[in-house]
Amino acid sequence: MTLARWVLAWFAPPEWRESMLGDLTEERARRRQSGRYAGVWWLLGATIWTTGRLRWAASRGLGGSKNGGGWRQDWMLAFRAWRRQPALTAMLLLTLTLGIGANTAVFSIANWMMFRPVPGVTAPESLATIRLAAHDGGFFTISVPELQGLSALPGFSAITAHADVSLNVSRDDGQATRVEAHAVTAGYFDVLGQTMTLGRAFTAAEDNEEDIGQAQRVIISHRYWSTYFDRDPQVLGRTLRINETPFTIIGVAAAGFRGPSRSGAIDLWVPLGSHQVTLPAYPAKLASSSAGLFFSAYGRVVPGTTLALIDEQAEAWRAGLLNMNPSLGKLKRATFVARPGIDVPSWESERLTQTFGLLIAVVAFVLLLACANVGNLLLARAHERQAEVATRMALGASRGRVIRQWLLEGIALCVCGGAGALLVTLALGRVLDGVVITPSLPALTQVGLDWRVFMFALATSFVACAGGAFLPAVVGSRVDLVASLKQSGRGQTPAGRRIRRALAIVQVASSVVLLAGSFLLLRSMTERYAVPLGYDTDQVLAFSIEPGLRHKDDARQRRLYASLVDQLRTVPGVTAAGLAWVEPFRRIGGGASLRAEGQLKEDNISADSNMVSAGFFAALGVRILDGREFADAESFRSEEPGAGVLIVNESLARQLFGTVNAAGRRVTMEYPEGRVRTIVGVVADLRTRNLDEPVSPTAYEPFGQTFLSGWGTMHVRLTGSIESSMPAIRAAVAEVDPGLPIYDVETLRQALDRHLAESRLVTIVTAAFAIVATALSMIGLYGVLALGVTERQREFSIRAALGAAPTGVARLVMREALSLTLAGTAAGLLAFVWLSRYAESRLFGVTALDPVALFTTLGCVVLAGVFVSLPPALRAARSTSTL
Amino acid sequence: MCQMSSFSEKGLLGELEQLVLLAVMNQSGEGYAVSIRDEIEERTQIALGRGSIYVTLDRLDRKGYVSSVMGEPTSERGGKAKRCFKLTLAAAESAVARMRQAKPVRGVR
Repeated sequence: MTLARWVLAWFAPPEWRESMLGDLTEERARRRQSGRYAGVWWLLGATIWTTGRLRWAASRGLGGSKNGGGWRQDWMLAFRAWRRQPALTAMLLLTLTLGIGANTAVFSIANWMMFRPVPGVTAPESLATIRLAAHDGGFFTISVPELQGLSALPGFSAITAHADVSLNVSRDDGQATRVEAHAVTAGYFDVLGQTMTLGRAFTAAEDNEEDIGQAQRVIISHRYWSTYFDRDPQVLGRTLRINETPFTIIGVAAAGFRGPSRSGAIDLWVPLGSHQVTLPAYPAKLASSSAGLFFSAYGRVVPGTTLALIDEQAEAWRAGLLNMNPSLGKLKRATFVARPGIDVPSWESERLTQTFGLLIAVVAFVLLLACANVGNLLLARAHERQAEVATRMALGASRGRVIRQWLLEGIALCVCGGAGALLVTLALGRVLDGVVITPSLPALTQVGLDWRVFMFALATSFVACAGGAFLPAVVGSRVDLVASLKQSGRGQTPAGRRIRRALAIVQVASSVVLLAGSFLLLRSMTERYAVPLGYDTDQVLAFSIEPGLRHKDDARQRRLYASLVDQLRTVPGVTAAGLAWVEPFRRIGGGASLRAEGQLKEDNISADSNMVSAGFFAALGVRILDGREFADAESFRSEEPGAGVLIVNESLARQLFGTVNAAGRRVTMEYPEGRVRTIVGVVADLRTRNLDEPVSPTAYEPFGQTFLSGWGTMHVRLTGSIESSMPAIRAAVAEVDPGLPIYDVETLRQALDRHLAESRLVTIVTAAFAIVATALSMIGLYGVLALGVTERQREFSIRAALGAAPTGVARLVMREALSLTLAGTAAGLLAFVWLSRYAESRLFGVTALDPVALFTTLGCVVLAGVFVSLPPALRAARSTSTL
Repeated sequence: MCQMSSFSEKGLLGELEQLVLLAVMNQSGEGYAVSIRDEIEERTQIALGRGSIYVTLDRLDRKGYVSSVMGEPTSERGGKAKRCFKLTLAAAESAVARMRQAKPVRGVR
């Protein structure tokens, strides 16, 4: 539908646009009724056909053809010319579709992730995000009273905010699952300008934390509605149990809406007033509390207001607050900053820009290569058509006319290639529907065509045309009239031959750039996976639980954690089990500050911290360098004064005491204030944050010693496969607490994969394109050589007659192949050296000029070059006997 | 092609144009692409292509025989308006004039 609309908007005469879409809609409904096909393809086909006929008829005017300077004739000639050579046309179209299609496909994904409008958000240009930006970078959380203060700023007509929450949700029947949600202020859907699919948005009554009964309302996403309620229109009024509390469904959000940012994967919205249930970790009275939430706040900007003005207003308001209450430390160290639109954190957009920048660069080379290939084929064709050109010129056609016709042929070709590329992209969108690239992004849905992709494809097609068809048209039309007419002009013009060689070199060079790049990325990838982590990944299963949402009572939670660990250890195939607060590669974690007992406060060392239970290090297979792991008796217990224990990693032990033999020594913690704890063990450094920085000093304390976290990640060491053990593990959890959902189930290997997902994606895509590019360039090289052999047959025969051996003739061809390959490789490597600086941030463990990668590239390309030169060389050798 | 140009220079209509014009006339200002096509099919059992209807209406419009207004959007059309055609006065006049001219030729009484 959207696509048909774009076709109409672009091509249909304006007076027809709306009515024609209406007519087609009407006709489509009729076709449906009569059971005939009325899918997207029919609509698209009918639209294109009808607009095409209208335009075609209009271009002919009221009367018939006026033969406007022969344009029509040239078009007809162009199409006829292509029909005459179906094999060549197919080859050219394939190359162009590949070149343009690769670009369009990558762009369509980039468009989906970075440029497409967010469904359900109207007029995003008049939205602005407001953040409390710390003076030293980063952002502060915002409290509810602060949010109310911001909404009073005259620059905003309305303001809203959401906080990310994960909820345990069970429907009428099923088991509890984990669902990503937003706790939102009442104005959320109004500020976004959203029309609900069903029901209504939240109202102020539901924002009232005093009346939690009123606030137990939930809005579900269109996806959730389709998946779990089968698009039942009666869904309103039904109940979802959220964190053990019944919530009434009052609305279904707009189709496609998964939160206000493109990378949103939200399925439920609950009013902020329900925070006692949905955000249990926060104080019971948020409306009057200074506790900050991880709010994202944004509002509608009053027309005519600039962001700078809003900044000023917010600044004045902040200054006023500070005057009244100078002890507000947070406001002292931060400023409110308004950003246009729904602002994504810069680190997120930067990563995406970088990734797609690289991928677009990769496919640009594929396009360059496709252009060179097309140029080469067209030049060869121009050479074959010399007689035709000569005849036309002899009959009075100007060279301009010939060039024009050939350019038209090129344009026709590129437009077809572009159309093919759009089809490829459309098909790709279908294939990618529902594919998850990285778990941090929602599954790809409806990646496909919109006007941006369409324009991109159009622009790319024109680039392809200019790059591929222009040169052959200009050079190929230069014909020696007399010689050609006498049918004696066997050879190419020297200019043509030079250009064909140059194009072959360009092809080899671009494939060298891509090959070298992908070898470097591959090397980086293996280097990344080869980094010693300090623990096993393949046999360790991790899954998360959050009993804190079910049981408010600390003692009950402690018992639950302990019996869970015990129960899991009895599962057959499980050799060790332990709970940790944070799983490796989760991009979150705690911090600690501590010093060796007796030292001064100034000597405090900052360290990462994690809370783990007995069995955690055993489950991960971590080497214990000194002392022991935590005992069961130490886990899930709050600290008795003076009896606190700690395990440190090697780096921290060395920093504290200069040795790994630190068991038995004591340290003073900064938090809880001045508490002294005994180190019971030293473990090897575990790489859990990233692969490129040195492991931070890390302190591990028993789970629940300082405070009891309401959530954690269980780590289980398996002897068998996950599939065989998983049912027993689920049963074990259900035995302890049947209503406890487990989520984020993955092996630590998968956690590492997730951490590297983006790099892997880039590597795979680059490698795939590099292979295709190399194949294409070798076909191009083969074409040049083969044509050369055909042309030089007479020369070879003469050489043979003068006594040259067949091997000598073959060597001539091989030498040409090698010289072209080497020239291309040299050019490619030079280009690569110049370009590699842009890829350096993507590399790991290798330098941009890694000799292994560069020599492998050289070897591959030369081998391939020799390989494709063999058939022409043999043919040349054989041809010597046919004088 | 050359024939066609002389055809329209003299203000003559092709058969297709006549058919469409008659259908437009018959629907007295309510006719739009879909209904016109239906009418022609009903009366003549000729199923015209969708494109032909549009092209012909377009031509008649530019020749000044018909004019169009946008109708009310309706829901069964996905909220899109119809483009309704009616005969222009000039067309009606010239049609009448031509009918008179035509009579003796066809020998109709």
